[in-house]
Amino acid sequence: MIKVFKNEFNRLIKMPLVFLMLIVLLAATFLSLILYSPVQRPSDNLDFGNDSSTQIYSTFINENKISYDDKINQAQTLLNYYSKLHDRSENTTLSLQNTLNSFELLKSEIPNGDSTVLYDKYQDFAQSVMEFKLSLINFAEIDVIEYINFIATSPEYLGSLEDIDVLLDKIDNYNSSFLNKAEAANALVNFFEANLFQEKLTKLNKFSLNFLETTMDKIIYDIKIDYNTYTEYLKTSEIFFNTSYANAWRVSLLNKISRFADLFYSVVNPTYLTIYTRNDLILDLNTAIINAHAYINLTGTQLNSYSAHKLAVEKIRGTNFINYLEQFSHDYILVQPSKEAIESIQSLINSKLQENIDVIFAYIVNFQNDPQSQLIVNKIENYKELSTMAYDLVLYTAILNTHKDLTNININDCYGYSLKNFNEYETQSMATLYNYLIKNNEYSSNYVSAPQFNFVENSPSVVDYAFFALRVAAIIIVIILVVVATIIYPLDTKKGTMNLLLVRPHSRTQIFFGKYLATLLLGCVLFMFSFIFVLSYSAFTNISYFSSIIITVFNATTILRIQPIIALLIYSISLLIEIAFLLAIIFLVAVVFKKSRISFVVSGVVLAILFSFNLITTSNLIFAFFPHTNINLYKYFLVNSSFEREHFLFKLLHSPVITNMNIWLSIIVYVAYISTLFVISNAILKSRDY
Amino acid sequence: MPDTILEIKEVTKKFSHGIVAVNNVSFSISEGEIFGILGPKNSGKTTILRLICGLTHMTEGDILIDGVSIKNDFKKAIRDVGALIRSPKLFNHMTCFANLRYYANFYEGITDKDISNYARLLGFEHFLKRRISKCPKEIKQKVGIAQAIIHKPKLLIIDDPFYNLDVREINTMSSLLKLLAEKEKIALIISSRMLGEMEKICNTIGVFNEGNMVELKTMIQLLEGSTNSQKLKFTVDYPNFAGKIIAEELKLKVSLAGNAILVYTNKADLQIITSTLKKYELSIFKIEIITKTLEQVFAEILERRALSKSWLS
Repeated sequence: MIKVFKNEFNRLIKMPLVFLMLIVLLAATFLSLILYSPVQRPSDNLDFGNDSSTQIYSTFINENKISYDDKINQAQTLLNYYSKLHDRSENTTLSLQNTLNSFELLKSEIPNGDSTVLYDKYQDFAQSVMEFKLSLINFAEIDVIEYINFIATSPEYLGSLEDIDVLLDKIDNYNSSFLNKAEAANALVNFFEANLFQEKLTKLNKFSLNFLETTMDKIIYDIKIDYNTYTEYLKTSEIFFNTSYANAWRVSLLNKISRFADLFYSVVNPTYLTIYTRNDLILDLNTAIINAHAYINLTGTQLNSYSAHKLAVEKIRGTNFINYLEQFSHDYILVQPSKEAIESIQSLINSKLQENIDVIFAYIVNFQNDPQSQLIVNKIENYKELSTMAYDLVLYTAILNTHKDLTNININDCYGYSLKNFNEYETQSMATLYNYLIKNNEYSSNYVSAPQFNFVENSPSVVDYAFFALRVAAIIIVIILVVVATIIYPLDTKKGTMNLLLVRPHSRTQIFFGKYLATLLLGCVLFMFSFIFVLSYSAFTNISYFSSIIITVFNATTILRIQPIIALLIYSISLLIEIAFLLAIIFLVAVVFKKSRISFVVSGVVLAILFSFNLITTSNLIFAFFPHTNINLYKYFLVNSSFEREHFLFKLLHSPVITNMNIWLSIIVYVAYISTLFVISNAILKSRDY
Repeated sequence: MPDTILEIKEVTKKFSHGIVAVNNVSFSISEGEIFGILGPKNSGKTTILRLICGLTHMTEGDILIDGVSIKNDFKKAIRDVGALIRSPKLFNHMTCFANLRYYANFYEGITDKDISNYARLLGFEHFLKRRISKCPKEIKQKVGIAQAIIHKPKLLIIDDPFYNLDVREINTMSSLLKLLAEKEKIALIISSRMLGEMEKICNTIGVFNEGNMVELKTMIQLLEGSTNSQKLKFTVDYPNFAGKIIAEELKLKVSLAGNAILVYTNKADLQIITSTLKKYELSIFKIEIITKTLEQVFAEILERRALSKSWLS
């Protein structure tokens, strides 16, 4: 069989048509890449339609002979252009750089106040630059801190109170860590303090207070918080504590911190420890103890500064917290009993703990007696419910409208909208994806998602076009293989080529398989050319996109992270499986309908029927040709290849591969399809008289 | 005694639509023998060839090639068979050499040198690097034969080797086939309607009619026939007288043909006839033995067959 296969393949690639086929294939691939490329070049009347033109434009601004008035006008146009580019979600790195360059230049040439008109113009321009940068923040393309520093170095930026509002909102919605947010807010405080914008500073203080409040709330309600995050939160509060401006505000802040500490120990920490003990037993004891120490130390430092609570020291002696700690150590020792473990727990309780524990529990008692505390507990319960639904949904909807203004979202609208759509599979997976991205601070306009093939929206995913082009290539290859299998290279009996083959010392099965494999390999080789072509096109046009990771959602719950190149490879493999299946059908047709022309027509009809059937079930023109690649095969491979070694068994048991039988079914069905086709074709071929 | 290469044992082929294409046929061919199959249209000539090649499955009987049954061990049996059924379908875009290489690759151990050797033997070595589409018909036919003998088969099956060839090409082809049988010791089975050529090259002839083999004789047997089928032609000075003498004295059938007499007898009587003529001092100018052509024999056989059939019915 291998001999027949080699021989046939050798002959196939010597066909003069192969070259033509390759050209047709590459042309089709290229055309589909061009037609479906997400990069849409601006087609307006602007005479600097590409990056090199913008370079020229920048040099134009740098030119000395041109009047300042003209320069500002041109800079404004340039800025508008960049905004347009940005709206089309193009890479803005270069645009930003160019804008800033021109801005810096204009700044250094500010007219000496005698021409108020020009100065006003410059102000306008500065304002536009600000707005542009503000819009960039929405996409997390530049850092908030960077932006604030930018403001700080631009004294001409006077900004209104409303601007401050917007800015604070930005900081609040800034997809970064709390620490970064705090630093950003801090930078803003410093700026306003330095410039004595009293009014604005008050506003800022209020914001800081609110911000801290929500920060702490987050810590409280996020039960699974880990040590690092916790440390970050505490540092946040520290920053605010140190930079607080008004004394009154400082007092309320302290109040807040103490309440926070109280909540932390009374509600969160014990629960956390319990969860910690039960779920992550693999964590070694020392880490646990170090963490516990750190919690206590950090909180203790904060509390020490609040002297009022020292009064309550005597009132607490070895109550809840120690109980929890003992419970924890007990649980732990049960699982992994050792002398060292017991000793270290004991020493922990006896020594370090004693210093701070008094302080902590003093306030717990106070809190319990406080009528306000009950309200807070209620709030916790309410917020917990809300946070599971509303918070996620709001974030999801916010990102759903990524290209609109992130700040103008009506929460109620979002909530209603999300409820309406939340049950749909697609919406749910998108929500999951966006939530994941936001929570991990990975959301940016640069991310790439699973293939969507969405023609309706004008913002296709970045590697969509590569998948699309491969799909088109696969369709062309199937057409080529129909021609090869039926006309050029027939199992035709009337023409006599089969006569010469069947008198060779190989069985008919071997000859059939050999021919099938040779044709399939030809398909694979052609596909490989397309693959390389698509890859190189992508590499030459969108390098930054191809270096980023595809994040895709499986079953609306499982998040998979995968390199674009690997995703493309997996996608190609699943396409090839479908090509193998279609080729088996074509071969069966060729065997049944001896004459080459008839079998050509019939296989065309059969493929058309399959296509229209799929079109009815999937109702998508592009999906219809290889329906299983998108539905099951691709994702099956994707899920399988994304396993991590260390938790293999755990992940396997909970993975969609096990829980979703469709994947297995589709693979089994494919193998069954192809082998059934083989058995039938072979039986017909064997019993036939030539 | 040369080895038997092909042995056909009571082979019957019935097609699914009820037609009996080959009915209980048996014969055998030995090394170096050229076996010609004659028969009118639809007499089962091609079917028997296809049965031997394994292209068609037989209903009953068995075919042994060099002692190996094609039913039991097809691959081993077919290894020793080369076949050219109908005009060869070669790949036009490829050179002669590439075509041969393609077919040679189905076997083991055939080198490029072997291919050019065969090309030299068949006389087309200058065309090896030319594309098939640019070769004359004769060369195509030769390449077709080359692909059939490239693996040194013991049995070569050619259906209509003279198909589509002109007179000169036919001559080359027949001498080539003779060469293969004599030099390479290949047993050949040929089916053709070019009876003249068949007469020149075949050792044995099998005549097929309606699926049955009606005659199986060596060429000499077939042409010279039995005792009464021969004619002797004597050119003498007094043909009337001579005819009378022979008819009366030797009791043989005589007829007149111009200045000659035709005597229906066998070769053994030649001596007696000449001595009788000499006894009456008749001078003999010329003696000819008149044999029938294969064409005539073939026509006679079919006629006889048709007569017996009509008589039977």
